[in-house]
Amino acid sequence: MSGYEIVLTTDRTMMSNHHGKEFLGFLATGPAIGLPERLWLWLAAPKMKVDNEGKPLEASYGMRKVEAKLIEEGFKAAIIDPDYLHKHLKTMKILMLGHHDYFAYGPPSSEWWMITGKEPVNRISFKKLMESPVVKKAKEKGVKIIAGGPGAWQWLWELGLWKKWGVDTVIDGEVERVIVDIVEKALNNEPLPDYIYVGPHDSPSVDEIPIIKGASVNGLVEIMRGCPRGCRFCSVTLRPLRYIPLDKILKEIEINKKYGVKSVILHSEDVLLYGASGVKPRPDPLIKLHESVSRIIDGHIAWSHASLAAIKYAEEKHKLVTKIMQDIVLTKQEFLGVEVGIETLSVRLAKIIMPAKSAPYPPEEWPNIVEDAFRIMHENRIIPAATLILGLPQETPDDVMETAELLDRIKDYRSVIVPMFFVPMGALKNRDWFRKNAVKTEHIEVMKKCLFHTLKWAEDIMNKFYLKEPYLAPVRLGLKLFLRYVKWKANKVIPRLETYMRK
Amino acid sequence: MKNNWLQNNNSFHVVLVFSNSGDLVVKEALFRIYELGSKFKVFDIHVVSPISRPYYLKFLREVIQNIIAFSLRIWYNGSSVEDLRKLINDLASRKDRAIFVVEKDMPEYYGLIRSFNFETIVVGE
Repeated sequence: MSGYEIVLTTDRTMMSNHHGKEFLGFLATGPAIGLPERLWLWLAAPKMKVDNEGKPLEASYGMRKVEAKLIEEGFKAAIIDPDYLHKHLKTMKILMLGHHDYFAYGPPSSEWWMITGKEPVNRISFKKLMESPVVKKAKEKGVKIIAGGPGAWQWLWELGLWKKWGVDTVIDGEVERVIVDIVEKALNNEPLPDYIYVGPHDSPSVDEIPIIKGASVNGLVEIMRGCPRGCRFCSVTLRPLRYIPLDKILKEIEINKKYGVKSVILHSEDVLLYGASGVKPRPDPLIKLHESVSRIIDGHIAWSHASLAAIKYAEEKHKLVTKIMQDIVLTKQEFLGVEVGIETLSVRLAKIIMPAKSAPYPPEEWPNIVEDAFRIMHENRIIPAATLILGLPQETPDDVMETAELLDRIKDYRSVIVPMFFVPMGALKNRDWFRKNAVKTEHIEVMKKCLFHTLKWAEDIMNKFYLKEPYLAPVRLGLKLFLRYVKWKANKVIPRLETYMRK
Repeated sequence: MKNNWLQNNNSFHVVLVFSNSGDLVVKEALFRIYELGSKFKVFDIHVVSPISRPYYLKFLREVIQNIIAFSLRIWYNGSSVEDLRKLINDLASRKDRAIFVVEKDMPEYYGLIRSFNFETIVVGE
């Protein structure tokens, strides 16, 4: 074994395949509730299988892309499980970190943190990695630390830890075009910027995006980058829209298969917009994609994200959801999971914060779009994990009450609904401020409805669809205990909270 | 394909010089970057300040979170007049396009910049 000069790693909550059920990974965004922390961590993020060098069988897709780019350019680079960093201490010159949520400032971690007053497990786990003897030793011997990934921005609010741990550079954005130069300069001990934001102009073209060299977590493969909706506040939409060619998608799936990953998560901001005409889904590319993927995999297909407007349009215009699900997906599996964003059910607020989210329909139609899309998904065995955002700027109590009332319209559709708080960064420093000023009575109403909706359907989902594999029996038991605990606790806490809020 | 992205000479350099608080200097810089955004897609932001690495970044959060349409590279260049002189010499020798935004209570620093041919904005003057 010769060792690697560039080691990519992350903490346990990210270096896991979450028992093959990525949704379980969300448990790591909260503190351990009703269970010991070790058990909680095992439920959320069990250890990955590794080879004799400590390379994990599956790893985060973003890190796989960076690893592939560096290998293609001739560097000795590899993703290494955090428990095996010591094997590469002698050869390591650069330690690259990747994370979605380094310090639990993203949703829903920050919300759990605010509500419970306890540090989420992902934050604790990352701090533990950075405080570990092996990372300290690496820094002492002059290893450069470069941090990136979707959570890179969070370092700007942890400058003390940045200093303490000796981070050299933080990079935010799509790095394929820039990472080679940064790594070369780091290896040559040339000066590096402290912070890099890679803007849309430097986004890689489809040809510059490499094919992964090792398996991604639960077989995630990217089918497109960017989004055509044009929301002014969103950086994703500023980036060029790139559809990954089908042959490249299939090659990545073959890589995953080679390492024993049988299933696929098709990743996009909006899967139904693959090959679309603007925001209008087109049958041909979507059917071809699903048929081609289904033909070569033994496991199941999942979608990372889809928009509710695209689901409604695809079905009403082309019967496309039914065709994809009944003719292709459900011939080999019982359901398909996806994340969707409701965000609000207030038309007034939707017009302000997300005027393009309903396109090609007008924003006035938003509540109807949500209801229709949920019905279409329910009828086609698509199980959405939906998000709602509370406390948005310009939100009024009427907006929240409208959301609470309209939630009744989707109560009969199988789904999980997770309310998230829009938390200003300043509020994170003062949890009491958050509890006293941010959470209003009407928010409690929405949270209560979401909780009981989710508890009802989570039981149904677990009984009929989820975690049915025999080897997952202990996970299933752990989750059932957790759900029972949440129900018991909620029935105790909510009346007390409502009384407190009325005072 | 290897490239030399960090030395991309199509960038515009914005040098911020401030002492205890960079708020006003950064606000001015943000405004100028927006103005220059039609011509440049990459900005190198250099900071000369006694607020050391990485704590000076506290004042750059607003720039980083608002400038999402361009690439940013943020460098710390020390705190002394000599550090500033070295930076100016580097920029001048490479014929880089640059603007300097300086806090008004630092006359020694903007005096030095004005002795070169770079555009200088003294904030609060």
